[in-house]
Amino acid sequence: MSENILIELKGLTKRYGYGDTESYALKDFDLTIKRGEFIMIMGPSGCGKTTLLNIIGLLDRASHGEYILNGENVANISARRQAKLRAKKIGFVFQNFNLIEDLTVIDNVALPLVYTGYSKTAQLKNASNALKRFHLNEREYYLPYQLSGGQQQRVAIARAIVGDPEIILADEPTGNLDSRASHIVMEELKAIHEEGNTIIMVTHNPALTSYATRVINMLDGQIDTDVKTVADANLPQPISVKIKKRKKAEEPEIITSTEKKPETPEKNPEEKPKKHKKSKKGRKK
Amino acid sequence: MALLVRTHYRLARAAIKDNRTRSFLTCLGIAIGVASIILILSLMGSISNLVKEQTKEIGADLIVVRPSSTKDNLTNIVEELTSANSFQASNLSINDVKAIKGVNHVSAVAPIAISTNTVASEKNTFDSVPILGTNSDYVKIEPLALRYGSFLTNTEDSKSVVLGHTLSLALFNTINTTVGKSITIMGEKFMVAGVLDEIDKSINFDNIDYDNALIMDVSSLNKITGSTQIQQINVKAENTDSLATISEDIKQALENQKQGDKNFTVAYGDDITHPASNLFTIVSGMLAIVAGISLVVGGIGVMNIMLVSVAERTHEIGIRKAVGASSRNILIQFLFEALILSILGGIFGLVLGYILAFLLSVVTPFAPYISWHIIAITFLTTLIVGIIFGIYPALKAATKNPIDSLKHYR
Repeated sequence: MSENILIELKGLTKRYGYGDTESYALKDFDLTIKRGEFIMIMGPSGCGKTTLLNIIGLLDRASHGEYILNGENVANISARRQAKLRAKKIGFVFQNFNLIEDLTVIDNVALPLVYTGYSKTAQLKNASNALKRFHLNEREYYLPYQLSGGQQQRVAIARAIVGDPEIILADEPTGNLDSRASHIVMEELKAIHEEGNTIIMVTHNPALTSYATRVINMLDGQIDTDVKTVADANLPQPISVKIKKRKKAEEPEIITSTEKKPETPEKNPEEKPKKHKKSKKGRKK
Repeated sequence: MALLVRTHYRLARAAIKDNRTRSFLTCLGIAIGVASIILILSLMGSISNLVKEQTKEIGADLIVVRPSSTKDNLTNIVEELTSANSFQASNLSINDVKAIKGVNHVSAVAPIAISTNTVASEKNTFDSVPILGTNSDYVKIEPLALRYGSFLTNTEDSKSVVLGHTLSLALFNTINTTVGKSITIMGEKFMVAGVLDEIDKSINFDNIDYDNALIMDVSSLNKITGSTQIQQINVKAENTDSLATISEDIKQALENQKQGDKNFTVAYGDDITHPASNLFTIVSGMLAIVAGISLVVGGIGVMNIMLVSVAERTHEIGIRKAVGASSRNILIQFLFEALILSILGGIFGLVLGYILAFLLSVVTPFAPYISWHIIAITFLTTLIVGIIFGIYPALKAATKNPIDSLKHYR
């Protein structure tokens, strides 16, 4: 199972200030995240949740400690490499949506693809497919302010998944939404997770923990409690990226992916090939 | 890479379109700077073209003797600019003309002595008429066409003069019955022997406006004014092959004549226009520097607007970085925007500059001078201005911390 480890944090420390003003957002933080986990991080304000998310998302650096992503130590890589990994492996969902106001919905969704070398046509095709998934394909050429909060957040989620990232990081994605919209957004995240994606989400709302496979409570930059609600073996497994890239032979794909999966929890296998097709489309080199 | 460049171009274009008025005003700043540079370069080109054509017209067999001062070049030019008479104190004399005439292979020698005086006919009197004192050889050297009558005759002490086209009109209100009439200069009576054809070239290497000038024998001029300085001696060689040896001979003859005084220059070919082009180069260089300052001001405008744009779009920068844009991506995006602004301004200024040059050519003899050099210079300067004034805002955008930027709101 060790090959299934996606993220390993060892002794991660984030210090702000020096001397008298020194404070720790994270202190000797250890965490191992497996592929397919849906982690909810809870805790009081200022306990380091967002800092943790930013470090995992390669937006920030730890003061010291190790961060191993996919077997590669990325704690001290260059800013350029960080950006590259962000573009390819990480999808962000924010509390305040963070869509670019001047760009249309479809351009917003296509944004991560701009920096990974997709042709304009491929960008729009993939973005359109991602939006279709969230039933927003009729709003492609709207501007963000013309959408409701729930719709904007779904656009933001579409943007997060459009580049097929390995991890989706969500910082209180429902924080600015009413309960109805929250529910829709959580259902979408759940669906994404069930396809084998790893999601790390920060929230204040304990009611949402039912969606998670693992709930971590943080306190003062350290883990307070860490509860797994789903056994590792039962985690949904993603489809191998290598197989995704192959153009022909769909059957072997399913076989390989089911082989890799120890078990398929409450999931109809037909859904996966659908995702293959989608992500294969339009990827040009 | 090409794809990324195209993407950045598209982004920059979109950003410029979104802020149309602002972008237009910024471009205008650059455009005015570029337009003034274009105007000056075009003027300079057309003036030096005019002078070059003149020497070409006169022919390749011309040798010019000028007095030279011991002062350095710049003082010389300053003096030329400030003195009322554009020629300087001369040490050339009528005897020098005679000495040059004795040199082998010289077919014609004509002095140029310019002074101004009051000229009166029975009808009108004019002050400050330029008077060219020369001899009958002058017409062999200069391509002057006579409308009526004849040029100066070969005899010295002749009492005949030749009038320029405009001067004749001014003095007698006519040109066709002028020949044979008399005019008065300093109490002396002269007879009009001929009238020149209209020339309409106020710029020439002799610095004479023929249309308004009166031409008379240099010794007659000497007599009425008392002291006449010869500012230049034009020499026509028999053939064009041995100009160098002939001019050496002239130099030698003059040195003998002047007993070792070497304060004169003997020039031929392209060197003839040198004093003029030197002056033009310096004056237009100065003007170009002034225009360059306005371009710098335009560049500061670009920088200013880019800084505003970066500040306004901090949040966008944060989002772009979060979804995977590297610092370099952001840098190029904003640099492209600045470059497009300044190049647009450059194109705009090129058009504006040539419109101005064209308008100027309507009232002056300076035709707009278009060459690929000017266009290349424009393009390069705007490119450089764009980079210099775009790099700082772009760096500022690129080095923004994504986390802080994401917290930033408009």
